[in-house]
This record gives sequence, C-alpha cells and structure tokens, in this order.
Amino acid sequence: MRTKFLFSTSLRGLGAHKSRSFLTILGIVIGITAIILVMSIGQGAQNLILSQIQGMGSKTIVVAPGRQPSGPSDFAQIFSDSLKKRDIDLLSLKENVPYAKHIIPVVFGGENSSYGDETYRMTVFGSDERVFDIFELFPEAGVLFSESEVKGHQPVVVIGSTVKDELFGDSEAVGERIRIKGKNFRIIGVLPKKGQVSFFNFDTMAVIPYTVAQEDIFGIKYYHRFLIEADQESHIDAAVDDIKIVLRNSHNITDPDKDDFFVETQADLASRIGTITDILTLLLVSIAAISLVVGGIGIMNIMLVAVTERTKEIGLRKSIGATNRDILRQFLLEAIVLTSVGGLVGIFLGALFSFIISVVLTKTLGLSWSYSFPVFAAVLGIAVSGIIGLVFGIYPARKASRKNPIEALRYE
Amino acid sequence: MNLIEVKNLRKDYGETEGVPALNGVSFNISAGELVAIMGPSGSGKSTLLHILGFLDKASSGQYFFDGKSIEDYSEDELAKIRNSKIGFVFQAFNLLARNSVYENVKLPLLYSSVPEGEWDGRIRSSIEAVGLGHRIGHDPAQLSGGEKQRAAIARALVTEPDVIFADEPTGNLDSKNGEAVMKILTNLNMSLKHTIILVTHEESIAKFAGRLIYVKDGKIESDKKI
Repeated sequence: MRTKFLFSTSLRGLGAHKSRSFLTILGIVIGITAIILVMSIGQGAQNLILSQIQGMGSKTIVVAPGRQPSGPSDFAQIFSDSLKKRDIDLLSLKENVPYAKHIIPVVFGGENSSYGDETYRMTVFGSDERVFDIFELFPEAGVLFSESEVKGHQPVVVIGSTVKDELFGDSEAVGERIRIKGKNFRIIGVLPKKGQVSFFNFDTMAVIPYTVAQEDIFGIKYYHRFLIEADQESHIDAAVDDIKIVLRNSHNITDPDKDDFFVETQADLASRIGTITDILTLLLVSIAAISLVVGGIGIMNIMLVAVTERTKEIGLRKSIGATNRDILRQFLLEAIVLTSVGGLVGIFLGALFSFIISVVLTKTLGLSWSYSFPVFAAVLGIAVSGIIGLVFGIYPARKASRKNPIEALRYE
Repeated sequence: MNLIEVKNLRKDYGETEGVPALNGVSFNISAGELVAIMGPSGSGKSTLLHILGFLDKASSGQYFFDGKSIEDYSEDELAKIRNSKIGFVFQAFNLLARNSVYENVKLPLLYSSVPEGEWDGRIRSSIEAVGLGHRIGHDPAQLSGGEKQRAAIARALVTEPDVIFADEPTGNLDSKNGEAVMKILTNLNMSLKHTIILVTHEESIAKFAGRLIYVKDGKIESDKKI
C-alpha cells in the first residue's frame, strides 16, 4: 500500500474509536509531560544556580580548608583551621602567585544580634573592604567600611536588608548600634535586597571587618576561606597551580592526596553544580519514564483489542490483495501515530506547565527563574514516544499480519 | 485456453485427519464461464473456492491459474494476483463500516498498481455497473442487504479482475434481492465476459450458471453444462 494511503487508513482506524484512542494515549501524555516538566525545571534550576555562582565573578578562586568533601562525613573538614595568616602573606607575594590580583580573607558563622528588644539570628561575615567589589555590593543607605577600619579593628557593620527589617522595621538603621556576641557594632551601611549570590545570602548577613570577627566574635586565628581574584580569566588555571604549590610548601605537604585545603574556581563549582542537577534531573526523568513503559503496555493492550475486533477487516484486506507487510505496517503505524500524538500533546503540556511554574516562581518567590524550553527533551520525547509505539505496537501488528485470511473472514 | 485447471486436489485439515475436505478434485474452467459449485453443507465447496481464490492451499494436487502453477508464486505474488486478477464476493458482504460505498469500492485499489489518476473513474463506473450510483456516499448501515451485496460486487469489479469468486452471494438476501444480485452477476458474465465462479446450495441460484459442478464428500459428483 502506498504510504499516504497507509496514513489515511491508520488515522481512519484510530478515528473510529476516538475516546478509546484518547484514553489510550493518556499514559504517554502523562509520561512525556512529566519528562518535559522535570527537564525544564532542572534546566531552570541549573541556570538559576549558575547565574548566582557567576554573581561572584568569573575570575574568583575560592580556597577552603580541609579536603574537598566527597561525602557527608567530609563536611566537618571544611571547618578545619589549616588556612593561616602566614598563608595570606605567602600568597600575597607577587613572585609566588603572579596572576593573583587580590587575596581576601573570609571568616563566617551564625550569631545572634540584638537591638533593643529585637533579636535576630544572622550570619556574621568577616572580610575586608574588597569583598564588596567581588560581590558587587553597594549600600542602599550609609557607606561600606574601608581598609583603615579593617586594619584599625573598628567595630562597624554593614547589614543586609533582612537583618535591617527584622531589627529596625521601617526605622532608620544607619548610625544605630547593634549587639553581636556582647559587643556593640555601629551600623554604617545597609545593603539592598540582593537574594542569593553564590552560596551567600547577604540579605541575612552582617558584614564586619575580618579582624574584628576573628578576635571578638569567633575567637580564632585562622580563616574559613580565601577569595583570590585572578588578573585575567585566562590566568585562572595557572593561578590555581601556583596557589596549590604555595600552600603545600607552607603546610609541608609533599603528597597532593594529603592536601589540607582545596581550591575551587567558578568553573569547577559550575561544573559540580551542573553535574549534581544533571544527576537529579536524570533520576527524576527515569522515574517519569516508568509511566511511558506503563503507557506503552496500555498501547499494546488496546492494539491487541483492536486487532481482535478487526479480524474480519484483516481477512477482507488480505482477500483483496493486502500482503502481510501491508497489514503489519497499517497496525504498526496506528500504534506509532497513537504514541506520537501522545508525545506531541505531552510536549505541549510539559512546556505549558513549566512556563506556568517559572512565572509562579518568579512572581511569588522573587527568583530570577528563567523559563527554558528543553528542545533536546522535546526531540527526545517525540523520538521516545515513536519508539514506544514501534516497540509495543510490533507484537499486535505481527499478530494481525499473520492471521489466516479464511479464519479471519469467518471470525464472528 | 483454460483459465483454471485443477488436478487431483486434496485438502486435509488437521482436526479431521483421515477425512479430507477435498479428495481428488479435478476440472478445468475456461475464461468467460459462469460456473456454480453446489453441494450440501460440509461437502467441501467453500474449501474449493478458497483454494481457487488463493486464500488457501491444497494439501496435494496441482492448480494452474492462467497456465502457471500456483506453487511457482510467492506469498506476495499470490496477494498481488488476488488483487489484480481476482474479485471476491462474500455471503456476509464484508463492507467496512464507517466507510462510504465509494470508500469501500476503493479499497482494492489501495493495494493495486493501478495509477491513482484512474481510480475515480473505475470506482464510479463499478458502482454504476451495479446500479448503486445514487448510494455512492452512503455508509453500509444505510443500505439494504441487496444494496450491500451490490456494493461488494462493485468492489470486486474495480480492479477489472479475470475472475470473480462469489461465496454464497445470495445467502443473506431474500429471494427478490437474491435474484437481482444474480442478474447483475449474469450480466457481468454475459456483457463484460467476466469469469464467475459461485458457490451456492440453492438450486434457484445455480440455474443462473452455464455450468454446474456438484460436490459431495469432497469429491465431484457431477460436472455438467446447464
């Protein structure tokens, strides 16, 4: 049979039982919708996280203490005390790390703050004045602290918007004093609402000079992080190598496997986040794919019913000249058309739902969630639904094609 | 020249081993004949028609169609012959529901090598030939029994076959409609020289044929001109 008539014959066969055809494809519709939805949300989440990482600057290298965590038991490592003042001094020498532009120490931890009767649990972030440039932070009110205040151990603080709202409400905060761990800090600036930047949410932070944070808040002589800015993006890898050499020498480490620090670039971080979200997406897609198998079995079941119902038609077609191949192609195409229509509807619904979710996330949670239609998933969805039709349609179609025409014509 | 030549045909079905449905059947049919195959129920007449129409194969014996043994044909070639050289008319009409008379008559052309440009003309002239022009767009459910069988005959005619096999073509019709259908078949035989082989158990129908082959217990009991 010519292909165009094969299509019209198959469509006519399906059109004879519209509601049954519709119910049959529901499994495929749900499966493909779920896959598109999961992949679209996965892509959106990845984009959101990556954009936040990039908010720290693509030339920033992070040095953290301890081994790079490879499992939950390793997380305590990142609070080890291996990053010392001596390390900063060595890293700051131009001959040691020629491509390092700035080396910024960071200490942080959760602390209670109070103003009058109001208290708020926030993150105290101790660093120097250059951290504001790295995170592109500008005050909404007041000013940021300077190098002299860092070196002079001045108890000044720049608070995030949530801290300000919790402690002061609508009142003016700049010039007021808050207590952190029993010590008074003068508020010199308030940051605007910024949301998550990299792994930091400055809205819930109080940024103070690291000198004060080390001595008066945390009582430590080491650092939780070094933020190192390379002079150019193309020098990042060389800078990372130099940093590792300097720190290994400083810590008397000869075996790189025994490093008590780890160095991470924004690209590493992005890649790691990308891998994690990809694995999560794949996991969810795999779960959604189960419904495709269930849908495929439904298709096979209905096609077997259709073959039985149309036994006489098969006999007639064979008696007037249809070959086994013609019958096989007709029923196979019906199954493929069913699943492909299901796939197309699923792609449309998946795209629609993921768009609605992106709008809801943007409007209600204030996230800069970018809607992304997963073209790859859509192409995959069409291909997978067609293949399901092929796989689950082949058995009923073969059964139809092998029917004996006389027995088929006698079937009641 | 013989269009059909069968020699010593035998057909055994697995479930009735030892009692063949056909047992040593031999005869020739020339192009242009109208032959009735008669016999009581279970005599083997339908089995014979199915073998002649390439829907079934004999267990042994020889069958030559148009001078060529059917053993020489592959399954696909047999399907092609069923499409281009043979037309079937069934007792139960076997029209596709939800398809108009036009669409039902078109069905054999879908599997044929007839150029698409000729289809419409062939379909309309076949339908006109059985006097069903006024019902061309109707579905089978809207037709009477006689009209359904006439649509089935039009479907058998559309590929301009060498031979039409009719299996109890009037079995589901009243005598008036049965006679009308037989007149159409007779007319096709007389005017268009179609070879027609029909199976019936009714003598009133068999009398329309020019030759009567009587089958009983899988054997030809008589073969005579009428």
